[in-house]
Amino acid sequence: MTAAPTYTWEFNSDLFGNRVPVIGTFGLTAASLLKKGTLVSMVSGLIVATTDGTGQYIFGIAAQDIETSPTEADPVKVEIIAPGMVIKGTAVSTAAAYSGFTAKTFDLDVDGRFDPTDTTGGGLSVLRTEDSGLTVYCLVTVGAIIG
Amino acid sequence: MAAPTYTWSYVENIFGMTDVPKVVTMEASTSLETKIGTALIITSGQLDEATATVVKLFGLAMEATTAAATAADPIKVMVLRPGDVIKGTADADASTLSGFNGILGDFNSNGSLDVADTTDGCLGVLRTEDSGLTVYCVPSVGAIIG
Repeated sequence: MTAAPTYTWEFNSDLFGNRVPVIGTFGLTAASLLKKGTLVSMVSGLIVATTDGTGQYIFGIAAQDIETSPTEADPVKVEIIAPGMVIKGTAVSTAAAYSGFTAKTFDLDVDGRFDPTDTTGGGLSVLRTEDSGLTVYCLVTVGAIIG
Repeated sequence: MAAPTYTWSYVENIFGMTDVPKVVTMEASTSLETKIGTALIITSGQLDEATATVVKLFGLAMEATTAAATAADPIKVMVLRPGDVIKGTADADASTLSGFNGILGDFNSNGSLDVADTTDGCLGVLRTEDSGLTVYCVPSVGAIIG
């Protein structure tokens, strides 16, 4: 059983218009626990928490808690993040220097945080930051159905 | 550096987005000069004129500068999205590029579409008017597109 990452994300705004995410139901990876707000990826057709290495397959944000170890393909509700949608999360360390979309492929760490030192295998780009660079507003520029 | 001669304007979105593009404020790069409609890239987190080898197109300037910008000066920019059609000027007859005959058309330093340069850019030509000198283009690659 894999615990849900500590840090969560939320939909913030839409840079491309006035949309809000559509919520869909998808199958879960076996034994993958989630919190409402866990950033999730779609890998091999199944939802799994986004951590280091799955950042290039970002699909959405978990819209419900999964607190009991799921069987493969158990259903989970997910907010689908579309191109241009801004999501708000937490950075491992200050990401202020990366504001203004300096790169497209930032990854997450094992705790679900934006990792400003890892630009390999990820799919996030930073619009802006707050709180000394530790709160990040990101776009998904590479994902399971983006890019 | 003076603002590029030729400017662009938003026309429509062929992917069904009915909202017009948003205008946001971003940082300018050193010496940036714009007109309303100057095509802008974003590089190292700051906006700059779209000239040659434009693979990080971001949007169209929504204000004219009165002097060369200092780094990080605020500039209003219309953020271009997938499927947005922008209307501009070509440096020669671009009618043969209509129908997205190539999607990597590049800019000239004066802001016009470089008809002879169909690599290392970011524009596909939807259609043309005025003997091919007015072009309706869709960005296929950009700072946050593609």
